[in-house]
Amino acid sequence: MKILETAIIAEKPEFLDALLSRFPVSREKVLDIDVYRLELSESAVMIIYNLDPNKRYSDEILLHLQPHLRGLIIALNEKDMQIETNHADNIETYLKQYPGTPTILAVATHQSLLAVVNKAVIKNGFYLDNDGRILFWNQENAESLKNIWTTLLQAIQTNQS
Amino acid sequence: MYDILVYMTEVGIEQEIRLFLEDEDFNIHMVESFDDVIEICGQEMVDLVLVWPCEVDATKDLITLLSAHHFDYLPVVPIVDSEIPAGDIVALPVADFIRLPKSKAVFLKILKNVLSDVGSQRGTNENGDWAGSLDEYNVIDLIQMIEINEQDVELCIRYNDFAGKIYFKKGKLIDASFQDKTGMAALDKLAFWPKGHFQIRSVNLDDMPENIQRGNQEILISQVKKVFKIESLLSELPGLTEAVMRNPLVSGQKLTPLQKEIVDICQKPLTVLAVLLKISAANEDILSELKVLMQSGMIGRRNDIELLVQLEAEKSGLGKLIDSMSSIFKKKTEFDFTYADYEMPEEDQPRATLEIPPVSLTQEENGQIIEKLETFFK
Repeated sequence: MKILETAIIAEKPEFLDALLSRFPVSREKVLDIDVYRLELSESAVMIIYNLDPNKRYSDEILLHLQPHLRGLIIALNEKDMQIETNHADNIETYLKQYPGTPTILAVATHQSLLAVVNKAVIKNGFYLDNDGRILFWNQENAESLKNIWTTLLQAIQTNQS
Repeated sequence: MYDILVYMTEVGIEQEIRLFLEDEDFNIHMVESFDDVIEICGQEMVDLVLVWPCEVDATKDLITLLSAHHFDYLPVVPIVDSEIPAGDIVALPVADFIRLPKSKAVFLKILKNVLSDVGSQRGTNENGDWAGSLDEYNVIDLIQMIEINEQDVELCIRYNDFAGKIYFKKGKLIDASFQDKTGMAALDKLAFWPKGHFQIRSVNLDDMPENIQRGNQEILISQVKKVFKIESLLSELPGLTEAVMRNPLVSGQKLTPLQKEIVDICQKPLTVLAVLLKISAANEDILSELKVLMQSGMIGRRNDIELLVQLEAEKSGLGKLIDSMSSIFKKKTEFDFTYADYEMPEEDQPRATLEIPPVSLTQEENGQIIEKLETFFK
């Protein structure tokens, strides 16, 4: 069984719910972190850690987790593009230590705004790096949700090759 | 050696000027901006200012500028080409003017005559007044020299826009003033300047109260101790005349009021000396806090910070985002939580590490996964 470990840092719980809303995930708890398990194929499973900004994790836990992460989704609102969190230092350290981790900056956008954005921008987002993109999404827009996950998986695939 | 400041009104004429002024008796400072004029005048003991080539309006502006910064005692001599009528020049408050073309020998002879006529700012004049550079004599030297002469004098010192006075009655130091400070507090801010220039003027201080009651020796000992303390702190900091500035890439640190004051005034590059003079707290306290700020990266040497900012601007893509992630993740000010029950290894025990090899998916597996994902969104 191949395990693909990823993490979501969602500014609000509803962002996490929306991102996982289409998946038949099972929830577990590992090292005090909520973990969602998603069967992707007979031989592959994706583990999604919910790094809740409102919780405080010990450095030990995060240090343990960081080397395993293959992808990261940061979901935040479009207004101030900021997440208030207790573990900002850990995340900053992680991002600096593993700069090549495929990362999606998922910016939650109002459906009416999403509707007028060029389709190519919705599909491809904005380029940040070979391993990173800014994507716009709305929980009512299934296509935009799918886009986040497929882009992340493609980035992970590109990153490992 | 005379210090001559040349204000160039045209670009690309340095070589020509050097040809004329190459002389063992001259130390030449060539500048192209008014800001540089004021900086040099504040730091060096300038004997003469040349405007080369003379433009009437630029010369007028320069004289106004020198006056506004209290450098109106500096003689200004325009170097005039044949097209400007002499009447336009002599109407200006200039010490003299030299008209080109002339041979170098003639030019130098005239210039030295001018210097001799206007009188050097160095040395003693007929009133017993004396001026010089703090590079040559620092304030502690000057206090001792004035004490020997036993006269009523005021010692004026200046560095860029900073100026202070120390008063002596029959050679005894009785008061000092610097910005809004007087007495020992002012003296503490004046006694350690490594740059700038001084002027000693005879004045009548009969009616002046003795704000400082200590004897000169006691004052000297305390000031020498303070200077040593400053030098000791400076051993781990940039030099007094080195510029420091705030690092705009570092933020979010909790600052003490004094640290905040330092950070606020260092938004633009400032020499360490200027930081000490702009802030009214004790020099030692400022330097200690500056050291903390430099260790935290909040303040740095000007060159280092400018380089960092430039590198940051040149970064592109995710690297830039990654480095600025701290701006996305705002640290919470308070939290009420407890750590999870997680067994921390004892210090003397080796830390448990979990080795998981990176997942390697084949092209086919990836295709299957993407396909599966798509089914969730149908």
